Amino acid sequence: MSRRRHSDDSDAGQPHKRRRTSEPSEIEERLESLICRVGEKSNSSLESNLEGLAGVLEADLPNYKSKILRILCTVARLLPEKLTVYTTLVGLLNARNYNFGGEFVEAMIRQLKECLKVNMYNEAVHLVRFLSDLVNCHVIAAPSMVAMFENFVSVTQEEDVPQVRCDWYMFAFLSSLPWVGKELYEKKDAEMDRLLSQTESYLKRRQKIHVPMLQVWTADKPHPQEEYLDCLWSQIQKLKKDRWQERHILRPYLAFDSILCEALQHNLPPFTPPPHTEDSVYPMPRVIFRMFDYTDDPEGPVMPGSHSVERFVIEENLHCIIKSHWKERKTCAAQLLSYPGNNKIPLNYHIVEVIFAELFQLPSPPHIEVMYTTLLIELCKLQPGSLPQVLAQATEMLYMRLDTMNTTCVDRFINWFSHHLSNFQFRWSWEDWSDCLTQDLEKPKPKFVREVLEKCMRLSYHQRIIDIVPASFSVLSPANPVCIYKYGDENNRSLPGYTVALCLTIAIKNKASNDEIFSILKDVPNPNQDDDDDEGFTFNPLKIEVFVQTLLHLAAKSFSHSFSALAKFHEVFKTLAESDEGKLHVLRVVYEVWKNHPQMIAVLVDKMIRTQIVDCAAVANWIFSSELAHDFTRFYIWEILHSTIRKMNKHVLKIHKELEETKARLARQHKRRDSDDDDDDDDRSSDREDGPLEEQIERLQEKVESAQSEQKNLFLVIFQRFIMLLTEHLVRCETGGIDVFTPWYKSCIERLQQIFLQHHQIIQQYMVTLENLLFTAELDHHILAVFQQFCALQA
Amino acid sequence: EGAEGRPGRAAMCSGGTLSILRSDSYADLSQYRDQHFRGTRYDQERLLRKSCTLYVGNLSFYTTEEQIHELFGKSGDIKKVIMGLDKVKKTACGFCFVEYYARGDAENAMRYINGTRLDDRIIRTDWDAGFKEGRQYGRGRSGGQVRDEYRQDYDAGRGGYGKTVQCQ
Repeated sequence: MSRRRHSDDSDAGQPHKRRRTSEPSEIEERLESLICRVGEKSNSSLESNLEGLAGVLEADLPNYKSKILRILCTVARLLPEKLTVYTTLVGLLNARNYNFGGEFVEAMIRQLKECLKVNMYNEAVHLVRFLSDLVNCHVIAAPSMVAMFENFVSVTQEEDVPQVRCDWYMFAFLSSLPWVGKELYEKKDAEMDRLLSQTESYLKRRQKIHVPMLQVWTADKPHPQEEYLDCLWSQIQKLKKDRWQERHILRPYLAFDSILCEALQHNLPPFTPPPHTEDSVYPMPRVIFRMFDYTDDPEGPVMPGSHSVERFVIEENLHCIIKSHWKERKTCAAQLLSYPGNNKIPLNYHIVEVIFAELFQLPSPPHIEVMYTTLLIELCKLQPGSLPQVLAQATEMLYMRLDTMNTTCVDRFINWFSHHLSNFQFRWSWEDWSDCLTQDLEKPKPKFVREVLEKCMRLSYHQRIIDIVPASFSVLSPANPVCIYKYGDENNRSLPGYTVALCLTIAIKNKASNDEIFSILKDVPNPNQDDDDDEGFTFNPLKIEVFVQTLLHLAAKSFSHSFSALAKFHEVFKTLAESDEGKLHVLRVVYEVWKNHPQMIAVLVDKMIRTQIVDCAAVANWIFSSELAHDFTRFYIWEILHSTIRKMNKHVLKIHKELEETKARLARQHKRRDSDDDDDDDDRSSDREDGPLEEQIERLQEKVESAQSEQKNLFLVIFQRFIMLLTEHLVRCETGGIDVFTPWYKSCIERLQQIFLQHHQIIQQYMVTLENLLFTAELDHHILAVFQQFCALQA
Repeated sequence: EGAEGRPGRAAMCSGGTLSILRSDSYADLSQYRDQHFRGTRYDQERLLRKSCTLYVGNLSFYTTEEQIHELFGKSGDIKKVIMGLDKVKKTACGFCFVEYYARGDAENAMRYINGTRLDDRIIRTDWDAGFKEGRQYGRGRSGGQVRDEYRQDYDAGRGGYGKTVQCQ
């Protein structure tokens, strides 16, 4: 390692600007690279690499101190899986340069405060853990760390603050203890006992209404799905019982004990948790996902128990690795597989469990779902002899427990499994699942298989699916996705509109214009009226039927054909679907034509919303209509509804962004004018300049308000319809004396939960309306519970 | 939520991200540049860097728009799929374009769908500067893609042997 050249100060007052500006950024890159790579696979030992690096950095401190400080603070925040490597490094630096150690601690505290101010709570936890491990490296004095934790725990005494705020401070304290519990307890046992007892009483009194909404399974067997703080508390209690002996964490600083214990320690400045503000957004509570225990791999190393601190540390680190490398799937897979376990842990099982924990996380996975599918495929490539078997075992277990799995999680399981199979020629031992064939088709297992087969078909083709499943599974096989054209059947000759349909068909094939179509449709009587007393532009269901059936049939060849048809005859669609009833009927007819091809229905609905043939509220009403009751629990229906809500949300954001941009333009214009003007204020000309922009802003403002109102209305419609549907079911069950909890009911109530969870940020805005208008105390407690659980999430 | 007006958060994110974590090799531009592109290299690269359109290659001739829509829909909402066609026969010749509404969705397709299977074939995605009429046709002499002109192997999903082999 060569020493870098110092900047040349000998030239009197003539800085070599050009040479100097290119070097520092190169050097900074090199420093960053050195620091980031320490700890990776190397020919030398970690200890000698750390020692070498400490030497290099010490030498660079005079010139690059602030850069080194910044890089170290950043790795503390963003590479938590390498926590102990970097605390050791800081420890060595502190031993060589006490002032640097002090400045680093100060920089960390500043960074921690900044994170808390901007709601970066997950990263703040990493910083707290880093600070606590610095106690082990003799950088920070134990009593001052205990004092900081005392301030953290006292947040639980604050009044009128959201529980999630207290939760975070408690989590930051508890989750640092695996690293530093031993040291703190040795130095300050009385204070620690007091803190732990305060912790216990807080955990006892905090409310846990939100838990059922976040559990992947509603059953406690074979593994209870624990609330995250409860689980962590059990783990810490066990750690304490074990006299704080923790053997999993790699602690490079132990090798340097003789050097480090000579170092002078710093005291953490008194840390006051920043107060709660209106803008504070704390992390949502979580439920710990567990699917494996030591019995699942009887021949391999023993899996640490669910209440062992080792389990906590392993899971934390694996989650951190995914968070660091989610964009680079090969690197991510390699990093996961090289997690140091020394063959003492069944790493493949931990990895699979952590990945499914993220995939099934409620409300949403941390990363896009498809990432997990591809990551698992990469892992299978790297460990072809072992990982596929663990994955198969996991799939089998998930299938066995479908009866109590949350509907949203089942959706994700369906998507993952079908996509995974499509990468492996759809090879699966379907016969192993023959038990589902004897069950009612609405039960979770047969339902799951049906939906999986449908998704598999979408990724291939109908005959392929028939070929890959045993004949006995034909009852679960998807329908051949063909279109149903009612006017194509000669037996339907007598249907009203049949002849017009034929006429239309010929006209469209002859490239008729919109006007020609209108005139052909004029001949269609309106079954809702005695006489056509207007131009026929009011709601005429038969016109819609004939036109939409015929057009969709002619365009049935592919999505592109159908999209072209929608575009070409947009005018006709808009006119026929002008009224709300018209929109609803268009959707009904689309369904009638394409009920065998849910994928086609979904893309048509999407196109019709985007081209404003129908609106979002119409789609919502259609989904809850009696015509769709038969398909109500099918996956594709909910994909359509959530896609519709997302489009609405994106639309509002887009206009909002436009408004903000225009406002910014106006502000810039003012600024330019203000700085240009000297004494003469030509008010008239400046007003004229502002005019168009101000007008635009006013128009956009109106647009935003109208969009937001449409968005709110959409959610209200959805909630209203859910309440009606569920209430009907509950009343029917009560009067009939039958059990409320049918498969349909479980599905429906979890779909309601899903609306809340998937769009929680938007829905938070409507809490008052929801409470006063819809989710009132008179509501059946089954339905009200969902609302209350949702409220509890950010309470 | 208040995403707007958070200079603190943006500063935290941009000022302190390590290059090791900025690595996004799957979403980077490849070496390929369309030789038929009208404009400078610089223009092409500028378009590639903000494009929402992907070229998808190594498809089976039998892969449908519906299958492509299903697979690529996993990374976000698709604006349009344009199937690649044999210039002479006007039938599918094993490639297509997928256009997303948002670049971020296209990036995720590059990260997670590129290099995985569709119709049992490993498909390849790459940034495209944007569809223009005419680009949906193969550029091989026989009408299909160039790669199928000179291919020596037998590929059942892509018309069997390469065109020059077939003519022997």
